Amino acid sequence: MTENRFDEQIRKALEGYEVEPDAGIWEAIESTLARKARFRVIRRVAGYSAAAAACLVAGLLLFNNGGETSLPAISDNTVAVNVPDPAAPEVPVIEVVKEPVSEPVKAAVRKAPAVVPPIEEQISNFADAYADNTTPVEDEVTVSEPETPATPVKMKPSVKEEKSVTASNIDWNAILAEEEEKSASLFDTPLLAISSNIVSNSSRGGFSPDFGPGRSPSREGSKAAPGLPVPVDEPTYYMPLSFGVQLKLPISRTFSVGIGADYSYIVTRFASLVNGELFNDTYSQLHYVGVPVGVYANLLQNRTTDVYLSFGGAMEKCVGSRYVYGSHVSSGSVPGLQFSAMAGIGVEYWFLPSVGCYLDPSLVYYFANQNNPQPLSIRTAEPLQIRFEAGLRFRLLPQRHHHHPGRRF
Amino acid sequence: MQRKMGEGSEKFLTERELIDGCRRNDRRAQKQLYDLYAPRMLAVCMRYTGSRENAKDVMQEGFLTVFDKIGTYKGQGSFEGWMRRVFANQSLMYIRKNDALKYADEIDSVPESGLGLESGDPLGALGAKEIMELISAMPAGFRSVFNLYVLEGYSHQEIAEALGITEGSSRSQLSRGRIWLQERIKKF
Repeated sequence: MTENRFDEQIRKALEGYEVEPDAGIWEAIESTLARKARFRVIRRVAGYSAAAAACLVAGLLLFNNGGETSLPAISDNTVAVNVPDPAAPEVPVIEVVKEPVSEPVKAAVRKAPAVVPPIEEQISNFADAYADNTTPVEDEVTVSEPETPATPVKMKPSVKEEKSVTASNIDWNAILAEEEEKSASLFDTPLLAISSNIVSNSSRGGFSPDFGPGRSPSREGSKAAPGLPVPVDEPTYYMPLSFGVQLKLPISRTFSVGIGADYSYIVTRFASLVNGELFNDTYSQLHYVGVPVGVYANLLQNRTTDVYLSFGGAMEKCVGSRYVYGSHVSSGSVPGLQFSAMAGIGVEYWFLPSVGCYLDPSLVYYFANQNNPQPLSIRTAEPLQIRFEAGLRFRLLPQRHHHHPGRRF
Repeated sequence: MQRKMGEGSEKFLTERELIDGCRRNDRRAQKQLYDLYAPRMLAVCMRYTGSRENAKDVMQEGFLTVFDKIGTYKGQGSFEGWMRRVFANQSLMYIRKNDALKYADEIDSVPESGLGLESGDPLGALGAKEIMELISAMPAGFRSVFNLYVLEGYSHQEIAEALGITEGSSRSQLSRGRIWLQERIKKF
């Protein structure tokens, strides 16, 4: 028998040969497809977050050039106050004489910005809206088409048709490299983190003993900005609330870098004097948005647990301050930026292949801004803090789901 | 007139509609594509990987690749041919990752020529299932080259590029593979 005849007989014998697949394979494929759809949404959110962070940085740089605010300056001795009047359609603006201060008053008044919904809620809504409407990503072509004319799908394969297939234009190395990249390591995957502080030492009830009655916080350097209600007792600091998103990108097997965007809400209560009148319960509410950046060094990595050192800092802008005392509410913008540096150790646990939780205890130091003192808060009162940040992390490149758990190529 | 597909299912689709549905990540279209091609593609994967268990994993990966890359199929050729190459590639990657081609012990023990089937055509007496079993039992190197050359129609140059071997090695393994297979057929 010639080789050609032998080959032909083999081809003919196997023409149209089928093997019935096991039940459950499709379910495994479907599960992976669903997970990939979710990750496509997360990737989009991460992209939007990075763009928002870039815009925020650009905006902060533009609007804080020279420490000037975009609002007009007002009289040194007065501060405009919005007094809420439920009967009036518009809130009237009145001027009251405030306590003399040592620096010119530049703060103007405006309504406090609307409270931003938690970022988790925004992302969840976004994901729900787009999870079922995503289109396949058209990656680079790795498989070329055969040159035979288009035909409807046949229920039985044609060996003649298969013979027309050539491999000359298949980029085998690219295909292999792509697959190896996908499955090479769990540690090469960009991560998206959604974080929040869970507890902090910021909620202590008082602070520096020299901050007594009759002393303006503005005299204490960076402890408070001018033009604000003057504390006359020991403030009470409530635990700041923070939410954020962060993109963590590996640059080697040991090091990763991260950038994100976060929001903090800081409340302080104190007694204040305004126009000679004492208000026992004055609340300051500060809204900060910032861009944290960090470098992470892995200490321990396995399939489920990572331990790492973290170093970094953040640049934050107070985008809204609001003071409530008696029936009065004053609000305004705050010039300048709040810079901070941090160092810590973190641990993350991957309870699903692509979803993990983490805890980042860290030591944070908030630098005083001498040119533009930040409003009184726990950050100005107690610049060195221990922070406990917790959250969820998502791998942006999905791990393939195999029909047989534990089997890997 | 376009032929309707999926008789008995909720939706009748032409091949074009089915592909478009998969491009939109329509799960029903993906399921229909799977139902239509899974038995044939599992047979392809088994021929390359040599075992049903390995073939199932490769097929699963292959369908994920198909759904990922289906946007690159422009409709200018046989869709089944395109799919078969995806699964063949997936199988070869599996073999390369497992370094199966490096295990050449059995290869060297098989002569390159001198054997052949006698008259009487024992191959004709075997069914597809038995031939599949014999091919699955071939050493990985023989099996890969034999599949690519005999059943997929690749040239030795293409096989050499695909497997990272020389053309001479591809010819040698094909020749020895045929002899190995003929030996087993005679003993079957």
